[in-house]
Amino acid sequence: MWGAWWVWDARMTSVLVLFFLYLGHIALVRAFDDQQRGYRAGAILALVGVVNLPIIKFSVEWWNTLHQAASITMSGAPSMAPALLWPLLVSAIGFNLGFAALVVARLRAAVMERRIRGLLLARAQAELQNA
Amino acid sequence: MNHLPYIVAAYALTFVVTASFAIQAWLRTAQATRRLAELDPRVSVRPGVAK
Repeated sequence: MWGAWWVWDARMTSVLVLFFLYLGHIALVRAFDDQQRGYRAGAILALVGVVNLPIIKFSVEWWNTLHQAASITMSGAPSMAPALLWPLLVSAIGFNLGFAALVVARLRAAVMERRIRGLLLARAQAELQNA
Repeated sequence: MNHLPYIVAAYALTFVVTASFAIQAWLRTAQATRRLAELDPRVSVRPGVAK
């Protein structure tokens, strides 16, 4: 697998399916005029898509394709050299912290936008009642 | 075989996508902050400042 930009390996193919599920989820959530219906449809697709996660995890054990088996396991010592293992762990922690920060920032913006919609609606209702 | 173009492209794509998400979130927050301040001046909406 290494040295080729793409092969139809079990791990890579199952991750590609996950990527398409993400794209489908984004498209589905935005496909409805009614936001709540979009969120519900997206949630159902997410529940169906969760099936893909164990397939990704165990793909390297179930199918003997080009990807090597897991290098880090709960039961045994890692089969990776420490020179690769530590940068991998630090990168994984950094990536997850960055992801969490992005989610919090987007949530903050979404909460404020919701508050704006609420204020605008309240203002419009008050104007209607006064008219 | 030279992998450098692939490695550079992968790092560049990751950086561009992550930076665009961060900038988008920052712009949305800044716009919402301004709009909230216009709609309700009583509400403290300065980014990073608790009410």
